Amino acid sequence: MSYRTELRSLDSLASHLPFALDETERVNEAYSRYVAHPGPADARLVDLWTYCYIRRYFLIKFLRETAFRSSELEQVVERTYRKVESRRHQLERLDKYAQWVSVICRNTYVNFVSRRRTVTPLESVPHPAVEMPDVELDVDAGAVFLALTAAIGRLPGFLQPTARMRYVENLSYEEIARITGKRVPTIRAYVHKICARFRKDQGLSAWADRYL
Amino acid sequence: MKLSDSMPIALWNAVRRGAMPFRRRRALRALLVDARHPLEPDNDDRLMAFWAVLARTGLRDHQGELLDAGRRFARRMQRDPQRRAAWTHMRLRLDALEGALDAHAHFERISGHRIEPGETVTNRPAARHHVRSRNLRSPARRALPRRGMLATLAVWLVLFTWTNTTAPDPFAFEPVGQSGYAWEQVGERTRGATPLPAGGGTVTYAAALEHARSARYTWLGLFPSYDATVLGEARDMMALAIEQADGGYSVPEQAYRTLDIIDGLLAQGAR
Repeated sequence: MSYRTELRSLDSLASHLPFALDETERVNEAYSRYVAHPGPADARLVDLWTYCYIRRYFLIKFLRETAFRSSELEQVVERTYRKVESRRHQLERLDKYAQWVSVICRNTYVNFVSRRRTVTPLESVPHPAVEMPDVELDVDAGAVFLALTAAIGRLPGFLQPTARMRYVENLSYEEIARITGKRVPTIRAYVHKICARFRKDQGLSAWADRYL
Repeated sequence: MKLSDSMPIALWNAVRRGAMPFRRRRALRALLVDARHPLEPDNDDRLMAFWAVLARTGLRDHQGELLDAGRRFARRMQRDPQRRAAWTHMRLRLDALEGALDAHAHFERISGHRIEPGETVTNRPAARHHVRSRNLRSPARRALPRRGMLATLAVWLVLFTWTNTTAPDPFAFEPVGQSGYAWEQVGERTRGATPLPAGGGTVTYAAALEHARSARYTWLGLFPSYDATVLGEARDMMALAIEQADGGYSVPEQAYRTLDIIDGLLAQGAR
Protein backbone atom coordinates (compact mmCIF):
# COMPACT_ATOMS: atom_id res chain seq x y z
CA MET A 1 0.00 0.00 0.00
CA SER A 2 1.33 3.37 -0.96
CA TYR A 3 2.05 6.16 1.49
CA ARG A 4 -0.55 8.31 -0.25
CA THR A 5 -3.22 5.66 0.31
CA GLU A 6 -2.33 5.50 4.00
CA LEU A 7 -2.97 9.21 4.29
CA ARG A 8 -6.16 9.39 2.29
CA SER A 9 -8.05 6.30 3.40
CA LEU A 10 -11.03 6.00 5.73
CA ASP A 11 -8.91 5.89 8.88
CA SER A 12 -7.34 9.27 8.15
CA LEU A 13 -10.74 10.77 7.35
CA ALA A 14 -12.35 9.30 10.48
CA SER A 15 -9.48 10.66 12.58
CA HIS A 16 -10.92 14.16 12.02
CA LEU A 17 -13.98 13.19 14.06
CA PRO A 18 -14.02 14.09 17.77
CA PHE A 19 -15.54 10.69 18.60
CA ALA A 20 -15.41 7.11 17.37
CA LEU A 21 -17.72 5.94 14.60
CA ASP A 22 -19.49 3.55 16.99
CA GLU A 23 -20.26 6.16 19.65
CA THR A 24 -23.83 6.48 18.51
CA GLU A 25 -25.02 8.46 21.52
CA ARG A 26 -22.56 11.25 20.77
CA VAL A 27 -23.48 11.12 17.10
CA ASN A 28 -27.15 11.51 17.97
CA GLU A 29 -26.33 14.41 20.28
CA ALA A 30 -24.38 16.11 17.49
CA TYR A 31 -27.24 15.61 15.06
CA SER A 32 -29.82 16.95 17.53
CA ARG A 33 -27.70 20.07 18.02
CA TYR A 34 -27.33 20.47 14.29
CA VAL A 35 -31.11 20.33 13.78
CA ALA A 36 -31.81 22.68 16.70
CA HIS A 37 -29.25 25.26 15.56
CA PRO A 38 -28.07 24.55 12.02
CA GLY A 39 -24.59 25.86 11.39
CA PRO A 40 -21.71 25.02 9.08
CA ALA A 41 -19.57 23.45 11.83
CA ASP A 42 -22.32 21.09 12.95
CA ALA A 43 -23.30 20.31 9.38
CA ARG A 44 -19.73 19.34 8.56
CA LEU A 45 -19.47 17.14 11.64
CA VAL A 46 -22.73 15.32 10.90
CA ASP A 47 -21.86 14.90 7.23
CA LEU A 48 -18.39 13.63 8.02
CA TRP A 49 -19.68 11.01 10.45
CA THR A 50 -22.40 10.02 7.98
CA TYR A 51 -19.91 9.56 5.17
CA CYS A 52 -17.44 7.63 7.33
CA TYR A 53 -20.15 5.35 8.71
CA ILE A 54 -21.60 4.61 5.26
CA ARG A 55 -18.19 3.99 3.81
CA ARG A 56 -17.21 1.67 6.66
CA TYR A 57 -20.52 -0.17 6.34
CA PHE A 58 -19.92 -0.94 2.70
CA LEU A 59 -16.23 -1.68 3.22
CA ILE A 60 -17.23 -4.43 5.63
CA LYS A 61 -19.85 -5.75 3.22
CA PHE A 62 -17.43 -5.66 0.29
CA LEU A 63 -14.78 -7.41 2.35
CA ARG A 64 -17.15 -10.24 3.15
CA GLU A 65 -18.39 -10.60 -0.42
CA THR A 66 -15.45 -11.00 -2.78
CA ALA A 67 -17.65 -10.89 -5.90
CA PHE A 68 -18.17 -7.13 -5.49
CA ARG A 69 -15.82 -4.89 -7.45
CA SER A 70 -14.01 -1.96 -5.88
CA SER A 71 -15.41 0.34 -8.59
CA GLU A 72 -18.90 -0.39 -7.28
CA LEU A 73 -17.96 0.81 -3.81
CA GLU A 74 -17.81 4.47 -4.82
CA GLN A 75 -21.24 4.31 -6.48
CA VAL A 76 -23.04 2.60 -3.64
CA VAL A 77 -21.45 4.83 -0.98
CA GLU A 78 -22.44 7.95 -2.90
CA ARG A 79 -25.97 6.66 -3.54
CA THR A 80 -26.48 5.92 0.15
CA TYR A 81 -25.02 9.27 1.21
CA ARG A 82 -27.37 11.13 -1.14
CA LYS A 83 -30.31 9.12 0.18
CA VAL A 84 -29.46 10.01 3.78
CA GLU A 85 -28.86 13.64 2.91
CA SER A 86 -32.17 14.04 1.13
CA ARG A 87 -34.36 12.21 3.65
CA ARG A 88 -32.97 13.01 7.07
CA HIS A 89 -35.13 16.10 7.46
CA GLN A 90 -38.11 13.69 7.67
CA LEU A 91 -36.61 11.98 10.70
CA GLU A 92 -38.82 12.52 13.76
CA ARG A 93 -36.64 10.99 16.47
CA LEU A 94 -33.45 13.03 16.37
CA ASP A 95 -31.94 10.85 19.09
CA LYS A 96 -31.95 7.89 16.69
CA TYR A 97 -30.09 9.39 13.75
CA ALA A 98 -27.21 6.90 13.87
CA GLN A 99 -29.61 3.95 13.99
CA TRP A 100 -31.63 5.43 11.14
CA VAL A 101 -28.52 5.80 8.96
CA SER A 102 -27.77 2.15 9.68
CA VAL A 103 -31.24 1.19 8.42
CA ILE A 104 -30.75 3.25 5.24
CA CYS A 105 -27.44 1.48 4.65
CA ARG A 106 -29.08 -1.88 5.15
CA ASN A 107 -31.93 -1.15 2.72
CA THR A 108 -29.56 0.25 0.11
CA TYR A 109 -27.35 -2.79 0.45
CA VAL A 110 -30.31 -5.14 0.02
CA ASN A 111 -31.29 -3.25 -3.14
CA PHE A 112 -27.72 -3.26 -4.35
CA VAL A 113 -27.41 -7.02 -3.93
CA SER A 114 -30.80 -7.89 -5.36
CA ARG A 115 -30.49 -5.62 -8.42
CA ARG A 116 -26.91 -6.40 -9.19
CA ARG A 117 -26.41 -8.40 -12.34
CA THR A 118 -24.46 -11.54 -11.58
CA VAL A 119 -23.77 -14.74 -13.42
CA THR A 120 -25.07 -17.37 -11.05
CA PRO A 121 -24.71 -21.11 -11.61
CA LEU A 122 -28.01 -22.94 -11.39
CA GLU A 123 -26.91 -25.10 -8.50
CA SER A 124 -25.90 -22.18 -6.31
CA VAL A 125 -28.02 -21.11 -3.37
CA PRO A 126 -29.79 -17.72 -3.29
CA HIS A 127 -27.71 -14.84 -1.97
CA PRO A 128 -28.06 -14.82 1.79
CA ALA A 129 -27.63 -11.06 2.04
CA VAL A 130 -31.17 -10.46 0.78
CA GLU A 131 -32.58 -12.00 3.95
CA MET A 132 -30.88 -9.87 6.50
CA PRO A 133 -31.60 -9.46 10.20
CA ASP A 134 -32.82 -6.10 11.50
CA VAL A 135 -29.63 -5.34 13.36
CA GLU A 136 -26.64 -6.31 11.28
CA LEU A 137 -24.17 -7.43 13.85
CA ASP A 138 -21.41 -7.90 11.28
CA VAL A 139 -21.36 -4.07 10.99
CA ASP A 140 -22.98 -2.71 14.15
CA ALA A 141 -21.58 -5.18 16.67
CA GLY A 142 -19.23 -2.52 18.01
CA ALA A 143 -21.92 0.12 18.36
CA VAL A 144 -24.31 -2.23 20.15
CA PHE A 145 -21.54 -3.47 22.42
CA LEU A 146 -20.51 0.10 23.27
CA ALA A 147 -24.16 0.99 23.96
CA LEU A 148 -24.24 -1.88 26.47
CA THR A 149 -20.98 -0.90 28.18
CA ALA A 150 -22.10 2.74 28.32
CA ALA A 151 -25.39 1.66 29.92
CA ILE A 152 -23.45 -0.40 32.46
CA GLY A 153 -21.28 2.63 33.18
CA ARG A 154 -24.41 4.63 34.00
CA LEU A 155 -25.60 2.09 36.59
CA PRO A 156 -24.99 2.69 40.31
CA GLY A 157 -21.59 1.43 41.39
CA PHE A 158 -22.87 -1.57 43.32
CA LEU A 159 -24.70 -2.93 40.26
CA GLN A 160 -21.92 -2.49 37.73
CA PRO A 161 -19.81 -5.60 38.52
CA THR A 162 -22.89 -7.83 38.42
CA ALA A 163 -24.06 -6.27 35.15
CA ARG A 164 -20.63 -6.73 33.60
CA MET A 165 -20.37 -10.35 34.68
CA ARG A 166 -23.92 -11.15 33.59
CA TYR A 167 -24.19 -9.31 30.28
CA VAL A 168 -20.60 -8.98 29.09
CA GLU A 169 -18.98 -12.12 30.44
CA ASN A 170 -22.22 -14.16 30.28
CA LEU A 171 -21.71 -15.76 33.71
CA SER A 172 -24.48 -17.63 35.52
CA TYR A 173 -26.07 -16.41 38.75
CA GLU A 174 -24.18 -19.06 40.69
CA GLU A 175 -20.82 -18.03 39.22
CA ILE A 176 -21.47 -14.36 39.93
CA ALA A 177 -22.52 -15.22 43.49
CA ARG A 178 -19.30 -17.21 43.99
CA ILE A 179 -17.10 -14.40 42.63
CA THR A 180 -18.81 -11.57 44.50
CA GLY A 181 -19.40 -13.54 47.72
CA LYS A 182 -23.11 -12.71 47.70
CA ARG A 183 -26.10 -15.02 47.82
CA VAL A 184 -27.79 -16.14 44.60
CA PRO A 185 -31.12 -14.45 45.51
CA THR A 186 -29.20 -11.21 46.01
CA ILE A 187 -27.69 -11.55 42.55
CA ARG A 188 -31.14 -12.24 41.11
CA ALA A 189 -32.44 -9.07 42.78
CA TYR A 190 -29.48 -7.11 41.38
CA VAL A 191 -30.14 -8.42 37.87
CA HIS A 192 -33.79 -7.44 38.21
CA LYS A 193 -32.72 -3.89 39.16
CA ILE A 194 -30.25 -3.82 36.27
CA CYS A 195 -32.92 -4.84 33.75
CA ALA A 196 -35.29 -2.20 35.10
CA ARG A 197 -32.63 0.46 34.57
CA PHE A 198 -31.68 -0.90 31.16
CA ARG A 199 -35.30 -0.56 30.04
CA LYS A 200 -35.08 3.17 30.75
CA ASP A 201 -31.67 3.63 29.15
CA GLN A 202 -31.97 5.76 26.03
CA GLY A 203 -28.77 4.44 24.44
CA LEU A 204 -29.95 0.84 24.66
CA SER A 205 -33.56 1.53 23.73
CA ALA A 206 -32.41 3.29 20.54
CA TRP A 207 -31.01 -0.08 19.44
CA ALA A 208 -33.69 -2.25 21.07
CA ASP A 209 -36.37 -0.52 19.00
CA ARG A 210 -34.84 -2.16 15.95
CA TYR A 211 -35.99 -5.52 17.30
CA LEU A 212 -39.64 -4.49 17.62
CA MET B 1 -72.89 -2.68 16.78
CA LYS B 2 -72.21 -2.62 13.09
CA LEU B 3 -68.98 -4.20 12.01
CA SER B 4 -66.86 -2.21 9.63
CA ASP B 5 -63.81 -3.06 7.58
CA SER B 6 -61.58 -0.92 9.77
CA MET B 7 -62.52 -2.71 12.99
CA PRO B 8 -60.16 -5.65 12.71
CA ILE B 9 -57.29 -3.23 12.03
CA ALA B 10 -58.26 -1.07 15.01
CA LEU B 11 -58.56 -4.16 17.16
CA TRP B 12 -55.20 -5.40 15.97
CA ASN B 13 -53.61 -2.03 16.71
CA ALA B 14 -55.11 -2.02 20.20
CA VAL B 15 -53.74 -5.50 20.85
CA ARG B 16 -50.36 -4.42 19.57
CA ARG B 17 -50.35 -1.37 21.81
CA GLY B 18 -51.31 -3.52 24.78
CA ALA B 19 -48.55 -5.98 24.00
CA MET B 20 -45.94 -3.25 23.54
CA PRO B 21 -44.36 -3.49 27.02
CA PHE B 22 -43.90 -7.24 26.53
CA ARG B 23 -42.47 -6.71 23.07
CA ARG B 24 -40.10 -4.08 24.41
CA ARG B 25 -38.90 -6.45 27.09
CA ARG B 26 -38.38 -9.16 24.51
CA ALA B 27 -36.53 -6.71 22.26
CA LEU B 28 -34.24 -5.66 25.10
CA ARG B 29 -33.55 -9.29 25.97
CA ALA B 30 -32.61 -9.98 22.35
CA LEU B 31 -30.38 -6.91 22.28
CA LEU B 32 -28.57 -7.92 25.47
CA VAL B 33 -27.82 -11.31 23.94
CA ASP B 34 -26.61 -9.72 20.70
CA ALA B 35 -24.57 -7.05 22.46
CA ARG B 36 -21.92 -9.57 23.46
CA HIS B 37 -21.64 -10.75 19.87
CA PRO B 38 -18.01 -9.55 19.49
CA LEU B 39 -16.96 -11.66 22.50
CA GLU B 40 -18.35 -14.96 21.24
CA PRO B 41 -15.69 -17.14 19.59
CA ASP B 42 -18.39 -18.67 17.35
CA ASN B 43 -18.80 -15.31 15.61
CA ASP B 44 -15.14 -14.83 14.72
CA ASP B 45 -15.55 -15.76 11.07
CA ARG B 46 -18.60 -13.56 10.69
CA LEU B 47 -16.89 -10.61 12.36
CA MET B 48 -13.49 -10.90 10.72
CA ALA B 49 -14.27 -8.12 8.22
CA PHE B 50 -15.58 -5.96 11.07
CA TRP B 51 -12.39 -6.42 13.06
CA ALA B 52 -10.22 -5.83 9.97
CA VAL B 53 -11.88 -2.46 9.28
CA LEU B 54 -11.94 -1.54 12.95
CA ALA B 55 -8.24 -2.30 13.29
CA ARG B 56 -7.64 0.01 10.34
CA THR B 57 -9.85 2.88 11.46
CA GLY B 58 -8.37 2.60 14.92
CA LEU B 59 -9.85 2.10 18.36
CA ARG B 60 -9.81 5.09 20.62
CA ASP B 61 -9.33 5.23 24.35
CA HIS B 62 -13.03 5.48 25.09
CA GLN B 63 -13.59 2.20 23.28
CA GLY B 64 -11.56 0.35 25.90
CA GLU B 65 -14.13 -2.42 26.31
CA LEU B 66 -14.23 -3.02 22.57
CA LEU B 67 -10.45 -2.92 22.49
CA ASP B 68 -10.42 -5.77 25.00
CA ALA B 69 -12.83 -7.77 22.82
CA GLY B 70 -10.54 -7.11 19.84
CA ARG B 71 -7.54 -8.42 21.79
CA ARG B 72 -9.46 -11.58 22.63
CA PHE B 73 -10.28 -12.02 18.93
CA ALA B 74 -6.60 -11.49 17.98
CA ARG B 75 -5.48 -14.14 20.51
CA ARG B 76 -8.00 -16.66 19.18
CA MET B 77 -6.94 -15.91 15.61
CA GLN B 78 -3.26 -16.36 16.41
CA ARG B 79 -3.99 -19.90 17.58
CA ASP B 80 -5.74 -20.84 14.32
CA PRO B 81 -3.51 -20.90 11.18
CA GLN B 82 -6.52 -21.10 8.85
CA ARG B 83 -8.04 -17.99 10.34
CA ARG B 84 -4.67 -16.25 10.24
CA ALA B 85 -4.46 -16.85 6.49
CA ALA B 86 -8.01 -15.58 6.02
CA TRP B 87 -7.10 -12.49 8.05
CA THR B 88 -4.08 -11.76 5.86
CA HIS B 89 -6.20 -12.17 2.74
CA MET B 90 -8.83 -9.83 4.16
CA ARG B 91 -6.27 -7.15 4.98
CA LEU B 92 -4.94 -7.29 1.43
CA ARG B 93 -8.45 -6.93 0.01
CA LEU B 94 -9.08 -4.02 2.35
CA ASP B 95 -5.93 -2.33 1.06
CA ALA B 96 -7.13 -2.82 -2.51
CA LEU B 97 -10.60 -1.44 -1.78
CA GLU B 98 -9.25 1.54 0.14
CA GLY B 99 -6.58 2.25 -2.47
CA ALA B 100 -9.18 2.39 -5.24
CA LEU B 101 -11.12 5.28 -3.71
CA ASP B 102 -9.62 8.37 -2.09
CA ALA B 103 -11.81 8.89 0.97
CA HIS B 104 -10.95 12.60 1.45
CA ALA B 105 -11.54 13.56 -2.16
CA HIS B 106 -14.72 11.51 -2.35
CA PHE B 107 -16.14 13.04 0.82
CA GLU B 108 -15.27 16.58 -0.26
CA ARG B 109 -16.77 16.02 -3.67
CA ILE B 110 -20.14 14.64 -2.56
CA SER B 111 -20.60 16.75 0.58
CA GLY B 112 -19.12 20.08 -0.55
CA HIS B 113 -17.18 20.39 2.74
CA ARG B 114 -13.46 20.86 2.97
CA ILE B 115 -11.28 19.17 5.57
CA GLU B 116 -7.81 20.52 6.22
CA PRO B 117 -5.03 18.06 7.09
CA GLY B 118 -4.67 17.59 10.84
CA GLU B 119 -7.91 19.42 11.59
CA THR B 120 -10.40 17.98 14.08
CA VAL B 121 -13.97 18.61 13.08
CA THR B 122 -15.81 19.65 16.20
CA ASN B 123 -19.24 20.93 16.85
CA ARG B 124 -19.97 24.13 18.76
CA PRO B 125 -19.85 23.99 22.54
CA ALA B 126 -22.87 22.28 24.01
CA ALA B 127 -23.47 25.14 26.45
CA ARG B 128 -24.56 27.41 23.63
CA HIS B 129 -27.38 25.11 22.67
CA HIS B 130 -30.67 24.36 24.29
CA VAL B 131 -31.76 21.12 22.74
CA ARG B 132 -35.00 19.81 24.15
CA SER B 133 -34.35 16.13 24.47
CA ARG B 134 -34.21 14.33 27.75
CA ASN B 135 -31.69 11.80 26.57
CA LEU B 136 -29.16 14.42 25.54
CA ARG B 137 -26.52 14.58 28.19
CA SER B 138 -23.29 16.38 27.57
CA PRO B 139 -20.14 14.32 28.17
CA ALA B 140 -19.02 16.90 30.74
CA ARG B 141 -22.17 16.34 32.76
CA ARG B 142 -21.84 12.58 32.47
CA ALA B 143 -18.35 12.85 33.90
CA LEU B 144 -19.49 14.86 36.89
CA PRO B 145 -16.88 14.30 39.62
CA ARG B 146 -19.00 12.39 42.10
CA ARG B 147 -16.02 11.79 44.36
CA GLY B 148 -15.37 15.53 44.54
CA MET B 149 -18.98 16.12 45.58
CA LEU B 150 -18.75 13.46 48.27
CA ALA B 151 -15.47 14.93 49.56
CA THR B 152 -17.04 18.41 49.73
CA LEU B 153 -20.01 16.99 51.62
CA ALA B 154 -17.70 15.20 54.06
CA VAL B 155 -15.70 18.40 54.71
CA TRP B 156 -18.92 20.34 55.27
CA LEU B 157 -20.18 17.66 57.68
CA VAL B 158 -16.95 17.81 59.70
CA LEU B 159 -17.02 21.62 59.85
CA PHE B 160 -20.72 21.62 60.76
CA THR B 161 -20.11 19.17 63.60
CA TRP B 162 -17.11 21.17 64.77
CA THR B 163 -19.08 24.45 64.67
CA ASN B 164 -22.00 23.02 66.61
CA THR B 165 -19.70 21.45 69.16
CA THR B 166 -17.49 24.47 69.80
CA ALA B 167 -20.09 27.21 69.28
CA PRO B 168 -23.61 25.79 69.64
CA ASP B 169 -26.69 27.93 69.32
CA PRO B 170 -26.90 29.52 72.81
CA PHE B 171 -30.67 30.02 72.51
CA ALA B 172 -31.37 26.41 71.64
CA PHE B 173 -31.96 25.32 75.23
CA GLU B 174 -34.83 23.09 76.18
CA PRO B 175 -37.87 25.24 76.87
CA VAL B 176 -39.32 24.85 80.33
CA GLY B 177 -43.01 24.25 80.59
CA GLN B 178 -45.26 26.69 82.37
CA SER B 179 -48.66 25.38 83.35
CA GLY B 180 -47.99 22.41 81.14
CA TYR B 181 -47.09 24.47 78.06
CA ALA B 182 -43.76 25.23 76.52
CA TRP B 183 -42.39 28.56 77.59
CA GLU B 184 -42.20 29.79 74.03
CA GLN B 185 -45.86 29.04 73.50
CA VAL B 186 -47.11 31.06 76.41
CA GLY B 187 -49.74 33.53 75.31
CA GLU B 188 -50.63 31.71 72.11
CA ARG B 189 -54.03 30.26 71.45
CA THR B 190 -54.47 26.54 71.61
CA ARG B 191 -56.57 24.32 69.36
CA GLY B 192 -59.48 24.51 71.78
CA ALA B 193 -59.44 28.31 71.59
CA THR B 194 -58.72 28.49 75.29
CA PRO B 195 -56.34 31.36 75.86
CA LEU B 196 -53.24 30.43 77.76
CA PRO B 197 -52.28 32.58 80.71
CA ALA B 198 -51.13 35.73 79.06
CA GLY B 199 -50.07 37.45 82.16
CA GLY B 200 -47.60 40.32 82.20
CA GLY B 201 -44.79 39.88 79.79
CA THR B 202 -45.39 36.28 78.72
CA VAL B 203 -45.96 37.18 75.10
CA THR B 204 -42.93 39.42 75.18
CA TYR B 205 -40.75 36.58 76.49
CA ALA B 206 -41.46 34.59 73.37
CA ALA B 207 -41.04 37.63 71.12
CA ALA B 208 -37.78 38.61 72.82
CA LEU B 209 -36.40 35.09 72.54
CA GLU B 210 -37.42 34.89 68.89
CA HIS B 211 -35.75 38.25 68.25
CA ALA B 212 -32.59 37.12 70.02
CA ARG B 213 -32.49 33.95 67.89
CA SER B 214 -32.83 36.02 64.72
CA ALA B 215 -29.60 37.83 65.62
CA ARG B 216 -27.61 34.67 64.90
CA TYR B 217 -26.74 34.02 61.32
CA THR B 218 -24.48 31.41 59.68
CA TRP B 219 -23.13 30.50 56.27
CA LEU B 220 -24.40 27.00 55.39
CA GLY B 221 -24.65 26.28 59.10
CA LEU B 222 -21.00 27.27 59.59
CA PHE B 223 -19.17 30.23 61.10
CA PRO B 224 -21.93 31.66 63.35
CA SER B 225 -21.97 35.37 64.10
CA TYR B 226 -24.39 37.75 65.86
CA ASP B 227 -25.90 41.09 65.02
CA ALA B 228 -25.21 43.38 67.99
CA THR B 229 -28.11 45.74 67.15
CA VAL B 230 -30.65 42.91 67.09
CA LEU B 231 -29.17 41.48 70.28
CA GLY B 232 -29.52 44.86 71.98
CA GLU B 233 -33.15 45.10 70.91
CA ALA B 234 -33.81 41.56 72.16
CA ARG B 235 -32.21 42.43 75.50
CA ASP B 236 -34.44 45.48 75.90
CA MET B 237 -37.52 43.42 75.03
CA MET B 238 -36.64 40.73 77.54
CA ALA B 239 -35.90 43.27 80.28
CA LEU B 240 -39.26 44.90 79.63
CA ALA B 241 -41.01 41.52 79.77
CA ILE B 242 -39.44 40.74 83.16
CA GLU B 243 -40.34 44.17 84.45
CA GLN B 244 -43.97 43.89 83.36
CA ALA B 245 -44.41 40.32 84.62
CA ASP B 246 -47.67 39.67 86.39
CA GLY B 247 -47.19 38.80 90.00
CA GLY B 248 -49.44 35.74 89.58
CA TYR B 249 -46.88 34.02 87.40
CA SER B 250 -43.27 33.48 88.18
CA VAL B 251 -40.75 34.79 85.71
CA PRO B 252 -39.27 31.80 83.85
CA GLU B 253 -35.63 31.24 84.66
CA GLN B 254 -34.90 31.14 80.92
CA ALA B 255 -35.69 34.85 80.78
CA TYR B 256 -32.73 35.59 83.06
CA ARG B 257 -30.58 33.02 81.24
CA THR B 258 -31.39 34.69 77.93
CA LEU B 259 -30.39 38.04 79.34
CA ASP B 260 -27.07 36.56 80.55
CA ILE B 261 -26.43 34.99 77.16
CA ILE B 262 -27.18 38.21 75.31
CA ASP B 263 -24.91 40.15 77.67
CA GLY B 264 -22.18 37.59 77.16
CA LEU B 265 -22.45 37.81 73.39
CA LEU B 266 -22.43 41.60 73.45
CA ALA B 267 -19.40 41.51 75.72
CA GLN B 268 -17.63 39.19 73.22
CA GLY B 269 -18.04 41.91 70.66
CA ALA B 270 -20.91 40.79 68.49
CA ARG B 271 -20.93 43.04 65.46
